[in-house]
Amino acid sequence: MIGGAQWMDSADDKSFEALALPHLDLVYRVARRLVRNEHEAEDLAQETFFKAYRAFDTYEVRHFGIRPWLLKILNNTFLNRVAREKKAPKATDHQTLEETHAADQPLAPPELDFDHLDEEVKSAIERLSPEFRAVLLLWATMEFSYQEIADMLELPIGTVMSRLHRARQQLTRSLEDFAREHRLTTDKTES
Amino acid sequence: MNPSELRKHLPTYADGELEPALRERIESLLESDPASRAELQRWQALRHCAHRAIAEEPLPAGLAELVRNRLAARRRPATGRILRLGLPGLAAAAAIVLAVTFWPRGAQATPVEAHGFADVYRTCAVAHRHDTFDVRDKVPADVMAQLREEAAFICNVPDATKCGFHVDGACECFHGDEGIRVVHVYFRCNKDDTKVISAFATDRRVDMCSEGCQCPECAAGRRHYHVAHDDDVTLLAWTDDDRSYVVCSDMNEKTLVRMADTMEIARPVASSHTDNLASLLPK
Repeated sequence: MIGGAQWMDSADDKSFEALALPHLDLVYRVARRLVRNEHEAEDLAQETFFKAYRAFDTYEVRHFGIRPWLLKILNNTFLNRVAREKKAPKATDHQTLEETHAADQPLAPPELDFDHLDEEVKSAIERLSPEFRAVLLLWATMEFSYQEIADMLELPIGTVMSRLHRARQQLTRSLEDFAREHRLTTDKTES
Repeated sequence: MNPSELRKHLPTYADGELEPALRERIESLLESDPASRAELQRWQALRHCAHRAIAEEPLPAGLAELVRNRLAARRRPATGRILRLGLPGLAAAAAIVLAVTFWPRGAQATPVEAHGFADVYRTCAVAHRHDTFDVRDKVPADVMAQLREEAAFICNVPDATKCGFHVDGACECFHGDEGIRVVHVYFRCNKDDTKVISAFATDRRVDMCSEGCQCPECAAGRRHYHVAHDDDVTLLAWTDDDRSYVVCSDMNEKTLVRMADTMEIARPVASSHTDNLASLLPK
């Protein structure tokens, strides 16, 4: 768990700051992995908090919880930015499915020392598409179920599972490449 | 269940997301399959590795304080301090920044730094396209009404929609400890989305001329541009009907003047409230 687990408290007697600011660290850390540099992450975290502040009177803590709510705003803000910056149609899950169909035999993570792969995994996460990255990072917090991630991102749970599967496959592929380049694994990963 | 099916379920099993019956079946198979158990451990290790990628990211010093101060500033009337807009400059596409400031007649102007507006334009309008107020694609009159309600001060801005632009976003661009509250609206060109016009409203009269504006044209209320530069950005400042405006752009001065000449001031439909709201401004 990142941070405390007190986020289901009632908001009745608490100000926005008291309730939300303790979770700035989580929002920033997820933002930092969503975007490519610290400055952008700070900016994204700040915008998330101002949007949350504006919408606080509509926030229903009993139904959602402050952490998922903040992360939902963060992801929406991030994906909106990406969509506006790209000015290009997003790949649908169907398209992505077809693109990766040829390599659809499920891969498993290679036999590596995962205690020393943090930088490689960070790089691999950065290379994911924004939609896959958003799902994977919520999964990586180890706080939320698939259904909760689906609620946060306003996606069907099947889409969440599909994107998570694809994201993990891409991470695995990146780690296989890394292992191959550094001769860290056996030939079976090269087949 | 064959080995291929077992492997397919392992990541979901590792996440604790399988139905109880299937989970029990997987557990039964894992007992006699050391290779699959090893693979399961790698899936778990991968998730922990991804978790560390988030958990070990240090929070930048001062970020919590900055957010806290900015939230506090949204709740209280600002006091007279110099505007400090210190974000690092970012590469800009061809763009315009247009700033408008309002103050009660006769109020003392607060000095502001011109380059701050240019930096806000670079950061909020060009680089990040902030839209904290969710005004994208709304008509200017509705945007003005919404911003007035949100900001609780008069923040009408010049309307660039008649110049072939549309509203693309708005945010509050307050920077500094107790600085001036600034609302920022920006417009994007309908035909070329690298062209941006941004409009700023401040909660008090400000003066971008370091020595104050004492020229006869301004004193007579005629539009008269004062020109300043911030790197590649040109700034025009003028007074019109007891309100101050600033236009910034990376276009050349001649083009910028021509654009500014065509700008009308957007107002909310319920403009009869303007006079009442004027009493909210600092004296």
